[in-house]
Amino acid sequence: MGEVSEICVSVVLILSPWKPQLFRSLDFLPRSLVSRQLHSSSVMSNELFANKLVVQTAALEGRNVPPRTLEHTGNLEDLSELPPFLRANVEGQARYACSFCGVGDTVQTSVDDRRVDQTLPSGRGVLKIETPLGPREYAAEIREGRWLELDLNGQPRMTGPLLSGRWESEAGSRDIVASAVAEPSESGKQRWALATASGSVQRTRLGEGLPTAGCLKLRTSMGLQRPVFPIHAEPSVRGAKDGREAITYDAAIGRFADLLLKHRPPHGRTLIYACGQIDYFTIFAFQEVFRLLGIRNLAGNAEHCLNAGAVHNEILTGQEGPFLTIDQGLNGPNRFYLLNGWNGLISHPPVFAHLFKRPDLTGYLVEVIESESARAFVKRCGNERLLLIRPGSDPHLALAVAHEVLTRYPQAIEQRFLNRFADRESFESYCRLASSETFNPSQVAERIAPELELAARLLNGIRDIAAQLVRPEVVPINIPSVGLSQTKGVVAHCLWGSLLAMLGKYGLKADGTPAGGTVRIPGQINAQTEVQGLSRNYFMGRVRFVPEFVAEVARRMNLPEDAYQVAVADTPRAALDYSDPSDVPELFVCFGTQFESNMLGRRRWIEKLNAANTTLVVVDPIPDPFTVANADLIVPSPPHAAAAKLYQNGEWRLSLSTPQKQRTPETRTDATIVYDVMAEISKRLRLDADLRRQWPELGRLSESGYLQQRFESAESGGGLDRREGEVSRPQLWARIQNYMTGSNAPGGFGPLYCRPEHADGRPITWDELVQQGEIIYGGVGTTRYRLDYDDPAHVPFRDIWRRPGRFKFFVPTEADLSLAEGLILDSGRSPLSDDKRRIHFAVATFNSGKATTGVDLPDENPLFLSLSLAAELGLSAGDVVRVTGGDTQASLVLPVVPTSRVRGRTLYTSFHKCKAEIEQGRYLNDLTSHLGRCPYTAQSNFKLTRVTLEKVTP
Amino acid sequence: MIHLPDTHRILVVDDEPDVFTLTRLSLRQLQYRDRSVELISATSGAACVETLREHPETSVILLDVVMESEHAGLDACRAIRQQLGNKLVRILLRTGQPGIAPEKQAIDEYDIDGYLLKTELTTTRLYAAVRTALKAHEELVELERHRTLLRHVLDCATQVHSFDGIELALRKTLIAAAELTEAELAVLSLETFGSHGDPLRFLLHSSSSGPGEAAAQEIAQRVKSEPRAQSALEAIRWADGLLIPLRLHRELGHGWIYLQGGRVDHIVEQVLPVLAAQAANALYAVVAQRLLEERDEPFFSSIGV
Repeated sequence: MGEVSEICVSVVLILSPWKPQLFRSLDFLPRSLVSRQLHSSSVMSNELFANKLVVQTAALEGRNVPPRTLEHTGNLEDLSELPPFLRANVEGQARYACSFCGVGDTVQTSVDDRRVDQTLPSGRGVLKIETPLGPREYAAEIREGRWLELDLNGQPRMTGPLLSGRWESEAGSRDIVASAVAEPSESGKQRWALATASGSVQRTRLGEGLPTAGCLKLRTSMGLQRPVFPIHAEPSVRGAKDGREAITYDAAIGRFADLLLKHRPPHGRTLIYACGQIDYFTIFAFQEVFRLLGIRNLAGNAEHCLNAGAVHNEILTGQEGPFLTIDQGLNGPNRFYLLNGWNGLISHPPVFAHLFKRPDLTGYLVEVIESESARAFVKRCGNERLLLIRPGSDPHLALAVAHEVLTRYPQAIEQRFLNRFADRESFESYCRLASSETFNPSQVAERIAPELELAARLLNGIRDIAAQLVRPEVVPINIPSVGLSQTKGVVAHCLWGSLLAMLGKYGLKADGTPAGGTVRIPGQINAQTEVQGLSRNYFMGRVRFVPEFVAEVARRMNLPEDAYQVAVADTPRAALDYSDPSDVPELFVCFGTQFESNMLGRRRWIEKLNAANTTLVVVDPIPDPFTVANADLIVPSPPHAAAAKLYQNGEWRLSLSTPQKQRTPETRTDATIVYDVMAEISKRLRLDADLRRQWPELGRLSESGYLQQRFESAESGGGLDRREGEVSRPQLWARIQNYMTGSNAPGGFGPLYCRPEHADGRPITWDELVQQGEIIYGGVGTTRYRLDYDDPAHVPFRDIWRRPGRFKFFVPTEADLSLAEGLILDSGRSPLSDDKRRIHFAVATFNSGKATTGVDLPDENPLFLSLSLAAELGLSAGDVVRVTGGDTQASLVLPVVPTSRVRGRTLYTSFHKCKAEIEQGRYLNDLTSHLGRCPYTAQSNFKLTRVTLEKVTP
Repeated sequence: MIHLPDTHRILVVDDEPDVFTLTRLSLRQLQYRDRSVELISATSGAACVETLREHPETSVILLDVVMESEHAGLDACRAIRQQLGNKLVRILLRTGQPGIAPEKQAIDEYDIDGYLLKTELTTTRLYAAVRTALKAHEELVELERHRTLLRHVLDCATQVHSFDGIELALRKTLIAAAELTEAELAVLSLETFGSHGDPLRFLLHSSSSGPGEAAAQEIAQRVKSEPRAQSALEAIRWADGLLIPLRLHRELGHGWIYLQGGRVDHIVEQVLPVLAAQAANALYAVVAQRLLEERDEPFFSSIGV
């Protein structure tokens, strides 16, 4: 180790006389040479220091040095305590959070260190040996602490070079290993030499999980298994020739700043897209930094799949967000479950398993395929409890149940809810529609059944659901696939919500127990923050881009009211629209990887991202091959186990995930990267008057000292503290709380609906977060959406500024209710297989491609089709078809599997990773279309992809 | 454990002292595979046998036939092959009286490797004969070492059982590797999963020259910081030692064995991965069985799949 250090120093000394510019670019060197702190830092080993020097020297000499990569996070140093940038004023019990699903499971971790030592006292005892032929037992003696002598007593001699067994003596018992010795033993004895191996065994214990226990995804998220692509340990740019060239973190931040400034309007435009599991702080950093730079279009996966589950509540009640906890959904008497397209066995196994522990489990599962969850549900509750429907027809199902309630059980309608808390006009419109003959259950059953023989079951189901819902004691719990439900997204969510509200079962009772409602279990762990803060149409807290609100946001950030004028002037564009060709230079900044493969109409994206005037920056620790080949700049953040993240799940549970591993020196967390790039821009503005003149609105903020104070570190005279290179989270938390609180003074709007606060209104402090590790905020499960009819002043529903409002029933348009015709390709997490390996793979990989390990990676994802369709098209198992997307006209050649688990004219394929995707570029998103958006959420209809099939003859 | 000598030792056996001097002069340029050549002498058949007993790693014997007796050389030959059991040393019979030990008879009966007539023996011919014998000896030693090591590896590997616990299996693997190579420091690291899938990490070491704890820790740190070591898929020479990856099937564990000092030659490099692979198989079985018991049963049985 010392030698490497010597080499580093001598290289510098040799180079420095005739390459003085080296010192300018290697700005860390003089400091390190003087103080030597860098060498002894736990953050940077000598090898890493040497590597950094190699990278920079090579860059000066025009050579490519590829970025360092790690195989898995097990190769990172362990962290034994909370890193300084997270520390609070109190002792913490911070937890480790799963990086996968919206359940947001967290655990406390502890490390047991045990010594292995084979020193044994001399003396007699018994050696118990396990052999392939069975156990043997020898009286024996240990001599001089190093010889083991077996008394054969007629038993066979042990053979082989090694002997192991359980040594039992008066001193205790332990496993021992001995090796054969050449010297002959006394008669009747056999001598062995005790072999010593010392060391340590370290077991990381993951404590009891919250909100559910025992999820294997959480263990997977520790990152001990190799992901399919390597983990990058330092930033890189595209090399002059092929391959990538490593650069330092500082250089990467400089380049990032260059690109952001270069693409400011009117010279270009920028899309910020969160592909991965970015955290609460990062989303707040987006607001602070990118909006100030004039970037309006912040987007993420929420735009495709998370919005519906959250936004439907905003449409109905004025505020998005949950009101039931997962615990309330799973436990308690008289639960009646509506599992709407939720494949919990795959997506949220511990919740699913918990649900199945209920002895009184009852309800219905609505699906378009017979998923793994559907199979399990049928085994438990009976065939008639699985309602198979056509894709996109669930709004009809919800309206048919409403029809049944309105016509057969009018007395069950909760008049108090309607009178006190609901908008009467919208209810009447809803009633008129639902009561119409179009939604007579008989008609609906025939209309939405994928095959006629299933209509009778559907009709019975509709009638039974209605009969159950109207029973006063029944607490309906709707667990939808929060993304798209049965593919009609927000429409279906709103209609199920309206149905329950009509019965007064959409909220909490006065005592805080559930009257009924929806349990939100999104597909991503931080889904709720994405909904609150990632949108082209909203500032954080779903504050719309209207002038008075924009000024309010600026005030909350201590900015002049016109600070966001550039962002306001930027054209709002859905992320998918960025795949259109453009004459304007465009910068795509992706936090997370696999952008091109996740985007619908993938081939358009490939063309787009390869265009000459497109620049791609990716912030992610595990970039995929497309990113490695094409990204202009990759800035790796630490892998999940080495990152500090604050997550918010579907029950407004804030979970502070603390790093278990030490990040590599050239990586920073997402939030710090965003603040560092803004600090770099601030520095440039301070030092460069021309730059201030070029960007006058930023120039004014620079001259006022705002930028320096807000973004730069104390070392640069700024006010945003960095500790070991990371932005102080306690300081950011205070900033977030200030933003969320606003001012109650005249002209102020006061606290936002999603301010992290206790049920009694006290803001949650950083100390509390660290101490408790996780907190459900905002009265979810206790006061939020409480339907207290006895309190005349009570108002359960309010807008984002907490101004009183009323529940609005949802009335869909004709277009909302249109049914897709033809062959419809559905896709999802189900492997549609009884093979445990396939099921395990689907469970363990979830929706995170980068967390996918190579273990059991399937060769390909086949196309499943119904037996009737297979007969009609003359297809049988093993045949190969060309599937062509209706909009994209792109094709994939896939093997078919006829199955009774898919019905009618529905086709299905899994969207999990497979070898064919990685090795042959067979991507499902070649078929899906960027067109066809939901008018309420702009969410795409990718689960309703129209396709044609053509048999391919070998 | 047999191993290649650092020096090629040639034993010149003749009762005429001048022969040794002449031989030394003839072979003064001799070198084989960068290893030096050392000539030693004996002046009788009996002394030859004793020298071989003392130096069994001797590569070649240049053996006179007629010394203290007419058959002294042939008797020594028989003793070396039969009493000492040394089948590896190459014996070149050098005689001035071919009538006493005819070539065919000597080769057939005494298991010799060359027959040189003193009368016809030029410097070049002697050089060629000895060099050929050295090559043959080295190849034989390598072959024998390979065979012995492989047998030892297989014997050890079969004793790393899937019914051992992880720790015991690892200790056996480490000790086997250390003994095989006579390493001064042997370190084994494995990251895997314990009961309930909790992360479990072993760092074991065995040192012939002291506690070795600090050295083991340092090696572990270095592996973590060097991509070449982290991602090695086969045995590599690294950090003055040999690093052998230890990878459990289905990503159920990953680690390495590091060996420093001792006899870590290219043959060890070839055979030790066999031990690592066998150990990895046994360890996979241990880990997988435990995980499956704890994971599959409650998971699948509770939901009826």
